[in-house]
Amino acid sequence: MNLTQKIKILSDSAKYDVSCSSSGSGRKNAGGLGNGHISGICHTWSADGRCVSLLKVLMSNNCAYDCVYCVNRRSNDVPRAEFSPQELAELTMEFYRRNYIEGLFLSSAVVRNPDYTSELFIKTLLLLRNTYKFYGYIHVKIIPGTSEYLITQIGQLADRVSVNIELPTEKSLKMLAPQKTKKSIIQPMQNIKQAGENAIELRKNFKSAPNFVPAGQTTQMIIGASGESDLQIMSLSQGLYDKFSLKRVYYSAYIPVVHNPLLPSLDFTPPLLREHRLYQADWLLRFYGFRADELVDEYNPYLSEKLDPKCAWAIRNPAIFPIDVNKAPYELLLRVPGIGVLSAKRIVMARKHTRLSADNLKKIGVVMKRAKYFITTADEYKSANALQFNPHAVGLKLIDGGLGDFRQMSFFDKEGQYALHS
Amino acid sequence: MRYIHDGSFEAILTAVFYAYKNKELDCEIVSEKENQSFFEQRIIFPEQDKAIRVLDSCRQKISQNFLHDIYYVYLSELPHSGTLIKDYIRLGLRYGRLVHQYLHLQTVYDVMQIRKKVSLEAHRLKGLVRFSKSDAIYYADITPDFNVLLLVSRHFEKRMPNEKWIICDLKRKTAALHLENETIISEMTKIIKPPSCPDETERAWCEFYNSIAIDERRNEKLRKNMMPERYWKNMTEFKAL
Repeated sequence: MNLTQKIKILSDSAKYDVSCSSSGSGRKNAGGLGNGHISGICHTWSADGRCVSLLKVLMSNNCAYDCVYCVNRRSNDVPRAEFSPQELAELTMEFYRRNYIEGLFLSSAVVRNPDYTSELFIKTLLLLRNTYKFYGYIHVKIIPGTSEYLITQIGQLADRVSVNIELPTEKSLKMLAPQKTKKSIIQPMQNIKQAGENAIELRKNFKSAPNFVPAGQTTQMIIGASGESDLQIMSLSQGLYDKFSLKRVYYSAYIPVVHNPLLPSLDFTPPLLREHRLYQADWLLRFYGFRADELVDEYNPYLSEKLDPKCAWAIRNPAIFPIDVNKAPYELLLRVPGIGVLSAKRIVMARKHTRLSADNLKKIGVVMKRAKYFITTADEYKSANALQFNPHAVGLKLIDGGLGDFRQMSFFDKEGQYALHS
Repeated sequence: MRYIHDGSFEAILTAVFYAYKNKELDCEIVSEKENQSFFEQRIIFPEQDKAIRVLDSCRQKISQNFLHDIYYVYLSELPHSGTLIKDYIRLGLRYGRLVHQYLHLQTVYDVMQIRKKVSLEAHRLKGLVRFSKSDAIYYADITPDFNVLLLVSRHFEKRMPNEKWIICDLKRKTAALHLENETIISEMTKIIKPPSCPDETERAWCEFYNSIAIDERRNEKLRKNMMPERYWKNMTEFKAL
């Protein structure tokens, strides 16, 4: 089998891994090839509009496990292939020199057992880092059940690692991925967090102490393969951010690749809109100071399909608005629909020098189409009051028309109906 | 009054110097190419010592970052960028270090917008530049809207210090050459063409690029938004192989 065929097989099954970010690591070039770019660099975008920054391949798709939702499960009849560490390291180097990629995203099916697979990873990483002097970005997918000492070794060579949580609850895990347990997933996360903290502590005293995953750890879960609500998903994410200081949780709309009575049928449409809303809510947790229970609760267990989560929250809490942009603290500005992190910062900066008008805000980058219902400016006091009289009417005006192509039947249409609360 | 310069950064700064010296702060500063009138004008030749005096006083009285702002405006090559630089320097000298925060002023806003656009293109190209290999030299073509070759080549200087590479800006007929551990920007006298026949790595990359897309999520519009089509012609994965 030649290289091109191998790449076809092994990237085809790696593509469902969402993460492709190359940010968070400023690794310096010390006389070899490559360096990290702290904000990450996208190198191309594939036909589905997703950014490609890393060479995302499996080491092997020859899996010992039999997870129901996975193409590579043992009982499935698909062509199998495997890279040798040497082959993969050389390919990465040559792709990197031509600026195709920002680094390597290394994942694998479970070859024999988790530890054996991890040893293959380590061989590849050692070749890259030591033999070829590669300083580019490396993301390694940790396989649930990997021993702690191997995780430590990987973490010292990689920039970022991730353990996929796969399914949001233990019940679905048991049903769909019987060989993986909650413990086998959570334990490595715990180890990674601990090792990261230890490394930081050590480096305070010894400058030469090895770094441990400078770009932190992430995880990913599948949305829509099992019956969890957004409430369950968001609470899980909140917990992961709090407990394991994850850099990111990725959500991946389930795409049917296998036929099985336990799973949605093959003509099921991936819930892309739901995934999009989850990402929006996730951003609110990470950058806007929201907590999961402000966005979804037992009365509203699903995020609104029609309104983005921030607008939906604002409309449920009319008493907070309108906000005076010339006085409100940064944290409150962040909660206004139409004001993002960047524009909130700019507002705080610019209002030191002048009282801001609606026109100023537009220049700063505030989306006035949404923000105008929630703020007062130096020149306009009227518009904002509309909200107090009729949040419902404002909600109707804010409904997202721009997502036309995104519309589809949700798996959860019946329970997930949109409810306006005031 | 109009000050006419030859298009170099040095000449623009020299013009700013004379605008201050002659107390003609409301003047326009335009390049030979832009200039179409013969009304009251003065030709400015670049004078290094004058340009350096302007830079030094900006650095001392405003900030180092301010110098980046005006250099990015220069790289944009937009019409009136000379005048904009002069106006921004005036504001900088009036408001000092925090002048970039005065976003409600049109001049500051324009400068920030331009800086954003130029850095965006430079950042994009850091990812989209594609080298092809011939005789152990990595060769890339770019055709950027703004003059970002210097910014892009700085990035590769740090990233691939031991490799031999050339990046050519075909639009401006300039090239960045990194052949002996240092990077030189120079005018291109002839066009270098690497072999058009794709090698195995290029075929492997195209295979990877095509198989990484998920069919169920196909979204052409999003792809074009993220990666405008004008960049495609220099990219390996879009060349018919």
